[in-house]
Amino acid sequence: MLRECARVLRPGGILAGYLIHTTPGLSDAEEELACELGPSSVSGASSPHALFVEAGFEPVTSEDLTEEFRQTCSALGSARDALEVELREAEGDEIYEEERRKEVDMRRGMDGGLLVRSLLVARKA
Amino acid sequence: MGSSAADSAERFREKYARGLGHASRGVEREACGSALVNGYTTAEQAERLAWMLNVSRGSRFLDLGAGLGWPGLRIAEITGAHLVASDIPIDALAGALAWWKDTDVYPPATFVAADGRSLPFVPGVFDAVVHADVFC
Repeated sequence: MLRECARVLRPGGILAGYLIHTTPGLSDAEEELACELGPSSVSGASSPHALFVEAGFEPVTSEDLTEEFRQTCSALGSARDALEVELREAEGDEIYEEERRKEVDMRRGMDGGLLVRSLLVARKA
Repeated sequence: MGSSAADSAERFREKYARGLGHASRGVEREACGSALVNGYTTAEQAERLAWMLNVSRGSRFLDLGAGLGWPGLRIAEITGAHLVASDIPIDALAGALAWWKDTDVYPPATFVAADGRSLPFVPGVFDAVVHADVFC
């Protein structure tokens, strides 16, 4: 997908976005747990920068937004709790429980130092 | 597509086919600062992204894995750049189109059903690409 981004961008064009990935330097067991706790799109690449460079990008800036993400997950959990009756009625119990579990798991992943959410900005070389 | 990627794609297809009800939008409005939010990117983070893309009226940018059009529509609204919102589930793009029609400022936008691993665009056509929790 990154190579496709590089292909469709003009030279000097900007690729920017948010990426949930595993913390660099994890053991194999920690990496496996991190991927289990992360959302379905969690990147298993411990070094997203390397992947971006490999795809033809020059890093411009990166920022660790894990703390903001932790707050977002907490806020999502609180809001889902507050609207539990309506959500269970609209989505069904199974989906409600799954969404709630995902938020708890992601917080576990961040609290355990396994998951990171970063803002990455790169320029097509 | 690997089984994990296929499972993920199927989950998203089902999610968007189900649609986001009033209660779900309430959750995201409460947690992320906008009823348009779809995912983990808050309203403030969408605005931060807009300023980093270096695009403006006359530019064209791709929102890869756009889902229901967040944060692409907000970025188009801020910058005036032409949004091309791309994702696999048709239901997601239909939702994005519906939100686009409701947007007060009505930024220029095009909606394209496509797989991010094989984009139907000619080389070098975009000034910027934006993504939010898409890469895996």
